[in-house]
Amino acid sequence: MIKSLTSQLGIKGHLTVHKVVDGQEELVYDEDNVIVSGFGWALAHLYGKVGSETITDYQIDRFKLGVSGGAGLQVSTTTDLSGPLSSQASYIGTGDSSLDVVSGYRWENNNVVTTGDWFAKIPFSKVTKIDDRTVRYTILVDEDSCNDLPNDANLNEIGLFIKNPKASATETSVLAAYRYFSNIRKTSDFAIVFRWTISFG
Amino acid sequence: MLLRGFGDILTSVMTVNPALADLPTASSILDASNYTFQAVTFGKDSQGFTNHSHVVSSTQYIDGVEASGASSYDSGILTIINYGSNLANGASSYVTSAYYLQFSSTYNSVPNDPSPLDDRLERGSTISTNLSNYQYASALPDLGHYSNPALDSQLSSIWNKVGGFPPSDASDYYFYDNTSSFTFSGHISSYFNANGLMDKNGYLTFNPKSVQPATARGTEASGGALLVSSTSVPVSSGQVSVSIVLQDGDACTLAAFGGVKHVGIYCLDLASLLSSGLLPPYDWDALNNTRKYKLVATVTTLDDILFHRDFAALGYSGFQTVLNQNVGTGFTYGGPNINLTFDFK
Repeated sequence: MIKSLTSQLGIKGHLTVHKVVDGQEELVYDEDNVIVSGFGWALAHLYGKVGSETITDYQIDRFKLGVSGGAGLQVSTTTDLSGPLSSQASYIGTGDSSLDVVSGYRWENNNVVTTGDWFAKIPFSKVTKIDDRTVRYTILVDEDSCNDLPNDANLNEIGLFIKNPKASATETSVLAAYRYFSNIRKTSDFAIVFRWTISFG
Repeated sequence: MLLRGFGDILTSVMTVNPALADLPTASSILDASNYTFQAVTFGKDSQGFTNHSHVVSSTQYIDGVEASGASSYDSGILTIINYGSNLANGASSYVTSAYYLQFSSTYNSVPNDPSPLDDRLERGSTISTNLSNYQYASALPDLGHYSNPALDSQLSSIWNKVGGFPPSDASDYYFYDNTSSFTFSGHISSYFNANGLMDKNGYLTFNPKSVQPATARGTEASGGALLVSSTSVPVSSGQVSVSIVLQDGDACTLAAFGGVKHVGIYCLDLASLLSSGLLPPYDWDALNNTRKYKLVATVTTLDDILFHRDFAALGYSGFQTVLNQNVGTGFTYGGPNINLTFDFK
């Protein structure tokens, strides 16, 4: 029996969520997360040489936030958030959000979903090599972002996506890691910082 | 087994700076091929590097066919003593288990146990101490795996004692039975060296093609180790196989030197190359290979995967006929296939 990449290398993810009020951080969530099968799917395209020829297309460079997360989604077969924010306005509102939000397609079980997804980019300056086998993604959702969601919904799920592993003309991303977290009703009174650490063995 | 080195590579993939795309002199660092599988090596137990056909006799011996043992004075002839020659169906095969039995009091034939921390195939020394008096003994490499001395200017004349792989031309081998009486002789040629696929340190390059159907293992062998996909191992399900065909003189010689118990897969050690001032692309050149490698995956077996016997019913000698085959002649793929499947999901 062939052991999977995550079990062989012991790939692990860990997410902390912090509320930031007046520059003071409050830890509100601290748990491990799930690396999903899309990560391995992208690597198979890299190591089979049937994907993009540019390595940055295999990088995690974007995320989604959602409002319908659940523990049942924390399995390797998850391909998307349950209730992702479905518009650019949901992310950046009408204020001065610092988020760079882009639309794109998404890979799901080797098929392209073209209904149109919205992703927020992770600036490369917020991708930190902690050591030879650990990467940390720092995601800032500032005071002007993700406020006033429809139906007063709570943020409670987040996913990291790999950029565009098959170099599709319309960037088509794939979910690499997923985490459900406790409800946060986002308002302009505070920012949220997600620190997501992935260890490759 | 995927190793810690593969974690290093994945971290590099995730953290290489996209802004390099704007620097003409450095943009090639972003080429995905810098991060994919690039080489394969073959190894065995540490003590095996002083046993089997590595053994050197103190008796000078020149070009005859009556031998009292292997010798370093035999004009480049690979000498093989078959301690299993009295075994049924083993008369013309090099039976490694018979060698183990013959020297069990002094020879531990177990390879080191695999560890995810390994950065070479065999942790113990792989230098043949039998060659310590050779004038270029300092040139003997301690790589942790088989080298390819035919391409080393200081070691090519004793390739038949350093071991691993023969030259590309037809070199002689003499086969002796367990009483050191001559049995038969033949010629061996390295398929890898004839096709420029392996450097002097024993790194077999990869075929640059993307995944091919499994049926291409034979027809694409001249390009090196091949990425293979099939309905049972589809890329779409996150799986990729690496296929290597050991054939012709390469299979024969490896078998005579004690076989193969480790197979290693390597990516480029990009950090080391860049710190040496070497920028990509790193073109393959078997004779002057500037690439540096990082071990990312290994397979280790207790038994020699080149174990073979004669097939008397069809008149095949295990060594002469079965191993000493080339792609497309006699057997569909010629020589043993090694298939390593990676499940990335």
